[in-house]
This record gives sequence, structure tokens and C-alpha cells, in this order.
Amino acid sequence: MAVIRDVMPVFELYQPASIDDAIKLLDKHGADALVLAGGLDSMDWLKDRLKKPKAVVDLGQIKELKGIKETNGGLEIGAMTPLSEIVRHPVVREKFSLLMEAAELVASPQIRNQGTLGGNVSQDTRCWYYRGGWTCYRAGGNICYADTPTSVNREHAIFDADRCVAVNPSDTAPALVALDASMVIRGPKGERIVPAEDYWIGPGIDITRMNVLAPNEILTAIRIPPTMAGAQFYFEKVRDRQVWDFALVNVASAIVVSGEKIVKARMVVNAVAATPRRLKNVETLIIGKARNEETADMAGKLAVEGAETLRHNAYKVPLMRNLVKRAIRGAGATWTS
Amino acid sequence: MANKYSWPEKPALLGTSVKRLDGPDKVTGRAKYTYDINRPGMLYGKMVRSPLPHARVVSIDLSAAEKAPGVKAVLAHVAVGAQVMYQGDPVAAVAADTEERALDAARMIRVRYEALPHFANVEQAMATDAPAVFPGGNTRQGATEETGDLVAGFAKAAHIVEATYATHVITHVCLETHGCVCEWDGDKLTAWISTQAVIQSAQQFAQALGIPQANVHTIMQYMGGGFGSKFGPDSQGIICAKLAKLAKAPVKLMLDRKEEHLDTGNRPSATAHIRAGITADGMLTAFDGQSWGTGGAGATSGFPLPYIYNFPTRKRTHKDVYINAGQQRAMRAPGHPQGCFLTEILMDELADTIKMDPVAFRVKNLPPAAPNAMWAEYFARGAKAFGWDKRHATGDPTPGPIKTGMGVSAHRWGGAGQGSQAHVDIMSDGGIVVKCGTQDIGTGTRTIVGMVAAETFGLPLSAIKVEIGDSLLPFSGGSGGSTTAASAMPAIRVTSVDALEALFAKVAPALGTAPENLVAEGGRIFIKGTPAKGLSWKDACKLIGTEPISVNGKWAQGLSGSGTSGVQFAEASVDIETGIVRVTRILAIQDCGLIVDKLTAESQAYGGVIAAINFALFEDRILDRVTGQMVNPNMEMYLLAGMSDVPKIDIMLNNMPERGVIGIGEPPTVSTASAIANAVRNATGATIRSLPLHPHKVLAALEQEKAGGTN
Ligand SMILES: Cc1cc2nc3c(=O)[nH]c(=O)nc-3n(C[C@H](O)[C@H](O)[C@H](O)COP(=O)(O)OP(=O)(O)OC[C@H]3O[C@@H](n4cnc5c(N)ncnc54)[C@H](O)[C@@H]3O)c2cc1C
Ligand code: SF4
Repeated sequence: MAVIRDVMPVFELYQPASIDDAIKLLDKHGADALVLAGGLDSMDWLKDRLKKPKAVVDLGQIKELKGIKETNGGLEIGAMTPLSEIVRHPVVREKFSLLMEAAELVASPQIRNQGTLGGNVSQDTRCWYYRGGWTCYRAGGNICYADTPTSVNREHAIFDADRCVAVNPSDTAPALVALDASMVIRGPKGERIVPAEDYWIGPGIDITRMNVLAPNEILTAIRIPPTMAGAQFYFEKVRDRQVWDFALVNVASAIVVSGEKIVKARMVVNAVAATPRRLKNVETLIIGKARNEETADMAGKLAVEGAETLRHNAYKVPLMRNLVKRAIRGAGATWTS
Repeated sequence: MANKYSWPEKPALLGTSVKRLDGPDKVTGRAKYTYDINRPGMLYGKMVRSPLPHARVVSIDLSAAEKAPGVKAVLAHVAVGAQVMYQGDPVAAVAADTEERALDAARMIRVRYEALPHFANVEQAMATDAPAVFPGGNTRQGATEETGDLVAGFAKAAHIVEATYATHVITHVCLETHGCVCEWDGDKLTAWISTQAVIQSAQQFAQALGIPQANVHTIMQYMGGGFGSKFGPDSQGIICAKLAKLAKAPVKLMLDRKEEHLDTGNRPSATAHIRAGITADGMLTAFDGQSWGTGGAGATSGFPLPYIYNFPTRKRTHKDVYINAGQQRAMRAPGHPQGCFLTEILMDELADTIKMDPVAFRVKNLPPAAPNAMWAEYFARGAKAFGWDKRHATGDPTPGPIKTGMGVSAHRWGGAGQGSQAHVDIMSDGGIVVKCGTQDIGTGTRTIVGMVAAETFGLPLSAIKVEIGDSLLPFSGGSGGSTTAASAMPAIRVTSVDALEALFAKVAPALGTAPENLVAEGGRIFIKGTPAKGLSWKDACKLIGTEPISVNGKWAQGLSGSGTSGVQFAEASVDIETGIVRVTRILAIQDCGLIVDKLTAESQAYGGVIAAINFALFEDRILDRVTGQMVNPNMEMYLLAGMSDVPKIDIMLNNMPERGVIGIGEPPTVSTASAIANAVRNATGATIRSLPLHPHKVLAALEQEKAGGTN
């Protein structure tokens, strides 16, 4: 909800029953169309009249986009699967509980019942200037209101600042990158598979979009390979209040330990840049090391190297550093001093 | 002096926990709030507001809106050439047959502005080179308050603490937004209005519209919160009435959330630079404070300082600073949460200079005890109940990132009553109607009006029909300053006692006794001491005859009091690696004179505490410093606690029937935030001298004070 000061503008509503029909519609309407999943993000843009699509293509009737399938030790999750269904799914809970934890921390029960995984990973940024209807770069204007010396920008980026300094707000996105997921995308020319890590794009590539989807493409499914099944997972989200709130910073990590040593690791942080930030340098650093305070310390410091703060978001540096440390310590950390 | 009106010594109902009369209606949706009022042929009003924080209106073109489909009335609220002083300042309005069309038409109103210099914060307004934005100056320096010889006071101090403390601007965030439905019949106006002052709203409508007050009828049966921001029709109410007149049809005009944040009031900010002294054995010696604050565009920002504690020598100056933002309005104990925070954080810092326990230190520096100054007793009771003896010195030594601490703070308030009138009818079928032009703003007034009457007549609450919330009823004041119960309850008591006397006069001959020998208890009227000699209420009322008993009465001295004191304890845990503060326990001790309904009294305390948790941890009206526009005018980015953020809250109400009824709607919200901030300081060792305690501020403070263990 940005402002909700208005009623929705008039548009044509299409409710195709198949992926092919949906793509034909999108191809026909091009940039004038808006894809509607659970609507939690989309409806706000419409009610605030900040987006005025001529056509809205509702994916809600397309059965093949819904549900969770087991595939050779992994999972394929339809883009239209509600977050609450993911949270409940036995295989998600057993092997990929990282995604369960992330999905369960999204917003509120109502929103998790209605919001879809495809929508959650594809959602737009929450920058309050942009959401408030200010015509900034991302909205097609020629200024970034969040990046002036006096802007109020506590929620904005500490990495990869470009003309836009907004962050990706999704909780499930970093979990999917940590699980080495891939995104199944369908367009008029057929299907393409994009590693989750490459699904999101920064303003340097396209300032008006958060992901690689072209206007005539839809995300049909998210595939989770067995690579990280049953690893030691850690997810933590820091938010101002304990419900119904976006992350100030979140961290998702999947670590495989053999003996006392880390043998495999994927670690991702979100809400610090326009895209979920995979910490490859940290992953490399911790391989072969034990999950202890010393490793955590080194990892935390390395994770935030190169961070550049704005006027009000310097706290995100210690916050991210500490979250990375906690991810390495793991959930059962005990304290002696 | 006890008299016939005095509160009963052994009440049957008063002081017990009684569920709200209108609870079932509220939860089933039968209760009609202003928002729910729909009239035949009703139109929808929508306002056009200034998007700029300060501008001159160059032109207003209503023509396109006038021609838009469904539009029945369009008006300009300001003249061309006038200045708008804040984002959200009303400029024009429309009424149309549907809400959608009203919104469409509002967008067609073309207003051209010439932007003028503006201030988005106090620093800009106080700058020496600031442009002249407000006529008469950008600031207003108040008089200096001074007591005793400050130099001598500081000379006695063994330690001096000097620092700057601050609270921020928050808005009222009433769940039901402001607004009304206006309907004209010739030159008579009926307005259903979400208001804390139903009769005063009629008066204000009349004045603003230039019609006799007798021609205005205002109604408010149910309201979704006001907290001090709903004392009249405001611009939206007057505009709604004008639109209805122009359109010759009823108009509903309810504000949306953004308008609500921008233009329906807020709690002013408060900042003070303070120097204070303390002796080696913990006596306060001196207080020197320069404070300032902003209540928005041209509004005041005063607050009491120092708060409660006895500084033998003190000096204080205050400056109102005007910025281009919506004007402040009274908000739950106006001024007190600010004065309390600024003083109470300082108190803990002072106590720490001599390593004295904060409770002992406070008790040592209290003003003399009195029925409205019971702090010493409450500190002791609360410390015991809360487990204060388990509090560690500043800085939780527990290993790991979660640090826990305790804090304490005290508060005071007035809550006096006056002036209410009431009317009671007793009919020959036994029916009772109690009328009073007070209003139930969600606090439970409807229920306690019924309780006082039921108590007096010796009947169950269900026997009383309560009529309130209507300007045609006997006079009562607006619900502000925690005065409602203390004003209306005495009026109901007096009128009910007089009505009962009139009934006794009719019943006495039939029972062969004098009226003064009768009592009404347990649904019967009987001769005192001999319950068998009597009649059921119903049978007794049959003796009334054709002309009902119909009695007017009013508030009388001796049934209400004023002045309350309270103390609150807070326990909070701080995650020093994330900056997240979680309040884990609150204990609120509050005196309140005679408790009418224990349940609704407690409910006020719960609500006050939760509102203060919002003030401490979440809410913040944030204006962009460049454009002067609010960046979070919604309920996503303007944060309020969710269920999971609300801790265990214990309420200890001190029933003091001998003091009469005293309002407590406001005081329980005063000291919570300071107690929480002191708990955070006790947990972490880092002193955060301003609110809100957002994680970014907590992390910054921890980094700065190097109190964190693992950074
Ligand atoms: C009050 C509130 C609080 C929230 N808190 C959180 C939170 O804490 N954490 C969090 O992660 N999220 C949060 N959200 C976001 C919410 O979870 C997402 O908005 C929601 O999951 C989006 O899912 P949806 O199905 O409603 O998507 P929609 O709103 O329908 O779509 C979102 C975007 O994705 C596009 N899209 C959706 N599905 C597809 C598809 N299959 N193919 C192509 N494009 C697609 C849409 O066009 C649109 O641009 C919150 C939202 C609200 C309203
Ligand atoms: S950060 Fe991005 S979205 Fe926000 S104001 Fe700047 S350009 Fe717009």
C-alpha cells in the first residue's frame, strides 16, 4: 500500500485459461498490459493510479501455474502457488526449509494466502518516493528523490547504487538464490530457464524493471534442484515490527558441513541492493572452515566490504554484517561472553 | 460531606467489570458509524488539497469538473491569491453521485500554484538565514519561567548532566477517518459526524455557515477513535455542508488515510537542551532547559518541563517553531508525553552519575504526597510487583546479543469534570430513558452512563435505555482532557437520584410510609430495613400514572475530582546486533478516583499503553526535507504495532471512591515511552535521547557508545 487514495482506473480484464493464451494477450498488448497474480502489489499501483494499464491479464485461471511437483529430488513450484501452500508443503519443510522460513516471514497470514511465489519474487521495490507517486527515474522522471544529501533513505541500498538506489524487498528471493533455484520463463518464442541469481536486474540494465521478464513473458515456475536439499539453513529477517513489514535486511544461507568443516555454502542477502546479493566472496572464504565465531567474524567483515552508505542507511552495514555472522554461527549458537 | 447525591458506599454495579452495552452491536456491524450512514440520494464529496507545502494559489479552474459526469456541486475553498501553508491544505471540493466520479472530477480541478519557500523541519525554520515564511515570524519565543537561584543550585551539584533530548511528530491515526454526512432541509442542517464533541460541532457548524445553532442537529452514535483530533467539523465538515447545500442533496465526505495524516492534527515535536545538577547523595539541585518544538504551520508546541520532579532551582524557556506541515491538535494528554520523556531519560542519567537506583532516586525527589500525587506509594508497589529488585545496573552483563533491561517513569494528569446536564424519564411501564448530550468516543461512555443510572435505581444495566451522542440532548462538553466521565457521571447521578425521589413520592402513600424511608435495591422499592414491605420496580412504576416522571439535572460539586498520578514500569529486550527493541512487559499503575466500569477503565489503560508503544518504537511522521512532503502517509510505512509487538501488560488501577469520578483516558499513555527508553538504556548501556527507537537509531547509538559486545 503506498497511498490508496483512489479507485482503480478502467481497464480491460482478461482471464486466460492457459499459459499460451496469456502470452498471446501479453504479446498483443505489450507494455500496455499488466500481469496480475495475487494482486497484492499490482492492486496498489492501480488504486494509487500510478499505473494505468489498458489491459490486465489475470493468471488466476491457469491451472498449470499452480501447485508443487516433486522432480528428481528437487521441486518445481508453479508461479501461482500461494506462499501459504509453500509453507505447508511437506517436502519444502523437510528438504528446503529455508524457503519455508522465508515464505512464512512474509507480511501476514492473509497476504501469504493470497500472494504467490511468482508475485513475491517479481514484486516491485517499496521505495517510498516511488510508491508515493513521485516521478523519479524509476517512474520515468529525471531525478532520484532518495539519493540527495537530504533525502530520507533509511531503507535504501548500500550496494550497487546507480541512478536508482531502491532495494529488492522480497523475502523468498534470497532463499531461492541460496537454494540454487532456477526460473522457468515462457514467452512467444518458447521457454527459457534463468538461474535465480540472474533473474533480478539492477537499474543499470533497466531502471523500470526489477527482473529479466520482458513485457510479453511470464514466469511459469520455479525449480529447486536437490543441490542444497537438507543442508543447514539459516534465514533471518530484520524488520521494524514483528508482523506485516518488509525486511530492512534479510539473509538466507545454505551450508553443508562435513566433519567440522564447511564444504559447501551459498549465502545471500536482500534489501541491500536492487537485486538479491549473493556473497560469493564469503562463500569462498568459509569453505574448509568451521562454523565458529572466528569464521563468522571474518565473513561478516568481508560481506560488507565495498558498501556505500547514503545519509540515513549507514546502520545497514553493521546490520548486514551481523546477520551474515549469525548465518554462519547458525541457529543453535550459544554464548559464553 | 455526604448528601443524597453521594456515591453509594456499597455499590452493586460501580467498580465491577461490566461488558460494553454496545459490544454486540459493534462486533456484528449493527452499530452505525458515520462511515456507515447512507441517506437517500446521497452524494460523495472529495476535496482537492495543496500538493505543495507553501504556495500562492494563482488560479483555480473548476470548469472541467463542473461539466464532468455525475457532478452536482463544485466549490473553491480558498480565494485566488491566497496562500496554502502545508501539503494537504484544502483548496477546493466536489460532490458527485458516486465516489469514483467525485474522484474523477476532483482530478479535473486545475489549480495553479506559485511555489513559495517552505520549511520541512525545525532546523530549516530556525536557521539564521531562513526566509520569512510565516507572518509575524518563523518562531515565537515564549516567556522565561524561573524559580530560585540557578547559579547557587548548580554550585550545590556534585554532578551535572548536559544533553539534548527530543521527541518526534506523530499523527492520531484514528481508525475511522474524519468526516461527516450533511443533509439540509431548507435552512436546517443535520450532520452525522465523527466527533468527540457532538454539541460543540453543532455550534461550530452554525458559526461557520452563518445559521442559528438551533437549526443544526448533529449526531454521533459510534466513533472509531479521535484521540483529541475530532473536536469539530473542521474544513472537511464545513465543505461537506456547503457541497450539500449547493447540490441540494445529502453529501458524505470522509477523508482518506493520506488526508488524515496531513490535515487532521498531530502531536508536536519537542526538543530540549538541558543542564541539570544532582548532589552526591541524590538530591536534584538545578534545571536549566531551553526547549523548542513544532506544531506545524503557525501552531503552538508547548509542554510541561521539567516534569513532576522537584528541582529547587529551575529555568526554562520555550520556542514555538513553525514549519509547513499540518497543524497540531490535542493528542492524548497534550504535552505530557513530551515533557515526561525529556525529563525521565535525564533522570536515569542523573541517577547513574551517583550509581543510585532510579526508583529510590525518583522517590527522593518527588513533590509532597497528596491524593493526586501518590507516586511514592506507586513506585514501591510497582517495584515489588514488577520484580525491580532483579534489575541489573546499566548494561546487561548477559552474554550474547540479546540484552534485557527495566525502566520506570511517572506521570500526572487533570481529568476534572464540569457542566454536564442530563434528563431522566421513568415511564409507568417501568421503562427508564437516560439522556445526556455527551458522546461515546470508544471509551465506553454509553455503558457507564447506564451503569450510574442502574446503580441508582437498583436495577440491572439492561433496564436502562441510554441516549447520548446527539446535539438535541441536554448539554454536555466535548470529550477532551479526560473530562467526560467526571462531567457526565455526576449529572446522571444527580438526575437519577431526583427522578427516584419523584418516584418515591408516588410510591410512598401506597406503602403507607414517607418517601424518605424508601430505598431502591435489587429491582424493588421497599421500606429501608424491611425488604418485604415493598413493590417490584414494575409494580411501583404503575403508580406513576399518565404523566411520566421527567427530571432534569446537572453536574454537582463533590461527585467528581481531578488530578491523577501514575507510574509505569517497562521491561524491554534489545538485540544489539540488529537494533530491534522488543517490549516484553509493562506494568501500569494508575489512580482514577471512583472506578465506574472496571473493564472499560482498564481498557483505556491498555489502549494508552499500546499507543505509547507505538510512539516509542514505531510511529514517525516523516517529511521529505527538500519537498516538504510526507513520505509515509499510509499505514504501511507509517508504522503501528501489530499483535506480535504488544507485550504482556498489567494494569493496577487504584480505586479511590472518596475522590469521586476522575477521567483516565489520557494519563496511561504518558509515561510508557519513557519507561521503555529507560529500559533500553538499562539493557544496553547506550543512551538514546530521542524517539522513536527505530533499529537504525539503536544500532547507531550502540556503535557510538561501543556498548555492543560483538560489533
Ligand atoms: C502490506 C504488504 C506487506 C508485505 N510484506 C512483505 C514482506 O514482508 N515480504 C515480502 O517478501 N513481501 C511482502 N509483501 C509483498 C507480497 O508478498 C507480494 O506483494 C506478493 O507476494 C506478490 O504476490 P502477488 O501474487 O500478490 O503478486 P502481484 O501483486 O499480482 O504481482 C506482483 C508483480 O509481479 C508480476 N507477476 C506476478 N506473477 C507473475 C508471473 N507469474 N509472471 C510474470 N509476472 C508476474 C506482476 O505483474 C506484478 O508486477 C507485502 C505486500 C503487502 C501488500
Ligand atoms: S531510489 Fe529509485 S525508486 Fe526511489 S526515488 Fe530514487 S529512482 Fe525512484
